[in-house]
Amino acid sequence: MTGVPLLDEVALSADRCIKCNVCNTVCPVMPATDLFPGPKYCGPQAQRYRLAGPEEAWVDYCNGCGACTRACPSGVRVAELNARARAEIVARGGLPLRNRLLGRSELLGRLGSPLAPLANLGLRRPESRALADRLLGIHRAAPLPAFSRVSFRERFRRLPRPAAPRTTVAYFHGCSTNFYEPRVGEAAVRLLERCGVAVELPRQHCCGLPLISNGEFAAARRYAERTLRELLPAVRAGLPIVATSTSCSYTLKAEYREVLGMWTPETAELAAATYDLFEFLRERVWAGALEAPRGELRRRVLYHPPCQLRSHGVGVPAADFLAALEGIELAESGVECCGIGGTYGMKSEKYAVAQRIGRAVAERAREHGAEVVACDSETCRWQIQHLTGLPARHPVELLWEAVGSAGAAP
Amino acid sequence: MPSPRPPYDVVVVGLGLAGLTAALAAASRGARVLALGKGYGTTHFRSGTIDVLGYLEGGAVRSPRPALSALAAARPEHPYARLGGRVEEALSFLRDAARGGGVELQGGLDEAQLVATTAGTLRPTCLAPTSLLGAWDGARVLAVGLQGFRDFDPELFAATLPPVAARLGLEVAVRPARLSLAPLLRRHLDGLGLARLLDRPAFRHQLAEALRPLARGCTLVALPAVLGLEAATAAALATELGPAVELPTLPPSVPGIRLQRALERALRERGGRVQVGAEVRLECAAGRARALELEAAGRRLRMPLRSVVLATGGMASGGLRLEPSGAVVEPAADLPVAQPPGPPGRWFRERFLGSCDQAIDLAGVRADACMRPLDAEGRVVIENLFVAGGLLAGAERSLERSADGIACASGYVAGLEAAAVEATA
Repeated sequence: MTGVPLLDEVALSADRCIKCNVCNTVCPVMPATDLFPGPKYCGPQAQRYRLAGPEEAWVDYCNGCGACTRACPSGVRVAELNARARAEIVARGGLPLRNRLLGRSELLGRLGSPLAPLANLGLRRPESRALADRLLGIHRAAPLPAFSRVSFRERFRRLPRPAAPRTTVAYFHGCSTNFYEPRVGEAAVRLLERCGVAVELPRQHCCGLPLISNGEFAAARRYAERTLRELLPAVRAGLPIVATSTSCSYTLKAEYREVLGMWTPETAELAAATYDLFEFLRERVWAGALEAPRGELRRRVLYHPPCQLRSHGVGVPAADFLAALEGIELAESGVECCGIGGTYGMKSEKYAVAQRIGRAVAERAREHGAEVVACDSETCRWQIQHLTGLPARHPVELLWEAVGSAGAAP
Repeated sequence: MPSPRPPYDVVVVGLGLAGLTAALAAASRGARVLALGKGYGTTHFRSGTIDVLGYLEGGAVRSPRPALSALAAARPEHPYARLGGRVEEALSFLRDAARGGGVELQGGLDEAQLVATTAGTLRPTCLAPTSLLGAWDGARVLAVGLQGFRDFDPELFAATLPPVAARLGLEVAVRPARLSLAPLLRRHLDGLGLARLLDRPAFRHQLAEALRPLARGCTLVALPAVLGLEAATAAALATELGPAVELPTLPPSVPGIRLQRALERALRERGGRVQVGAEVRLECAAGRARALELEAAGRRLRMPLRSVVLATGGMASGGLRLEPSGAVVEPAADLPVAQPPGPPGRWFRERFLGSCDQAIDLAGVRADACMRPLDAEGRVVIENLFVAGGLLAGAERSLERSADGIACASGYVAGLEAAAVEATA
């Protein structure tokens, strides 16, 4: 009913499970609640019975961090199996309005942005938050962003372009940069310009990730088709798709195929052309085509790589660039997950679980005496800000803060 | 053509004991290190002890040092024949690194340590974490099973251990007990869940209180090895309760995870990076490993290399593969593999476990004293690539109980050698 092929390589990977429990040792949710019996039970073990019967509701307590898939020594796609199981429940049993809303970040952005002052007031008032908690199940204390009055796309027109670009990329900004944090996109475009990279802005919409993680696969597939229509022309013109949200870019790289089961040449084409911003820049540095941008940042920074970035399998490229800054006191979090799981930690029944998971990030920030936390995915930043009381910034904001003030590169 | 710039001095492939030791050794020389692997593995399956040489010629080894020399002299193809002189240095390095991460390993090459298993046997090892070592001789032991945890049966343990110990000249008396505590009455209870519960001081205290009356008259309390994922938990319980010993259980092995986490923490503290979930291939040309091809989301990533340590493990870990054609191959770099002796029909014995050899175990990559891979003529095939651990040919690890010692010593040497490789244009 979810439209996912029954026997693709992800589904078949369950057969490789030797029940070694390594996935359970890395799962951040398991120690935080008894409601989730662990990725092994929910994933490869329950998978054997899934064709026949109703899903176990506990799978909804997976927050989708993907640690299980990465740690599995046998190549079982545990997280993907769990995401599909959730979609199966949704397809059979429907979905609360709350999840439909949270799955549509772009719609929320389009509605909220023009009314930013009013909408933000609503997001801040305890009365309205209590109402949303009771009526919708969005926790009253959950970290939610503030709308920006001017979208990134509007700001983009005023940003500088390199005079003699060495190469050109297409920028995928994602919903949060466009509606909530245009400063992230602005910093990215300015940094790219400084590196001699021209930026094009293809027409684009939400990649569908929030729908995928809320189990709405039919709608997610429509979003994916639209994204393919909008981005493939740029890909075929030879432009890399560069993104600042490591969650959106992971969706383009992997989730259309591995979660939604869209194993088409088009999704492969898009996946192969999509880069995280720092992954893209780092590859140019490795190839000797770019000097790492230099600058000074006299701040104590904790870098927390988001779960989705880890699933890219490219390491922590942003940390490589931050580490090269002069004066920076940089530490990596070494913590598996901040807990938020996209919209997971915003939900009333899961808020406390997400907070417990994220506590380790806050402890690490305190230990390091961090003044600011850097993290490449938006919902993680909001969660970390909420957990630590510290500003959480996209690494490109910090890098641009350091590089921008250093004047033009030769 | 711009020149590629390797982002790391040393890349270590494999996150088992060999890989972690190699990464730590390289980092100790100031190298920028990346350790990556396709997942966690052997450390989570093994009991957190370091087996160097447990059995030789079918007999238990009481003193590893002379046994190592005897083995090296008798078996020139054995990894210890090339590593023998470095084993002690490597163990001492590992002990320091583990201590840095909070795990205290006891023992050395002079005398084997005995570790009790949940089945009630005593097996030899070389280094063991403090919590796995008990004063067995003359002990009056309380063996405690925990309600809901099926991987330890105190009655079986109580029936088996005394006669086993007697054969070794030790006098041990065991009284079995079962304990039921409210927090244990959960739907899913495994060693991991128990360990997490025990990391909480309140539950630890509750357990100690419940055990104290039962343990009256006993000199040692034996519990399944679930005393915390935190390195300090077992000692904290012993402080409240008196002498306690952990018995290693089925995977996931809590002491194994503790050791892995201690080593990973020590590596991060030395500036090393760890990346989990990466399958790799090496691009080699003209006797050098040029680049690492990483299976990343959506595409392959090509990382220029300065030097690399391959610690991808043996057959069970995927570091070696038996092809349908009957050839054992090394899939990551296509290194030359010394095939098992005899015809393929004789590579396997009917009994998987037991005291007979499996010739297939002898397959692997041959290496020189620097752990550089060799071809059939004994020539170094790749200058800046080093091998360690389960990949190495010539050992019968399960018969000898030598896997950890080989991993540690070869990892140590490989890591140091890799760190010493000069950058080339």
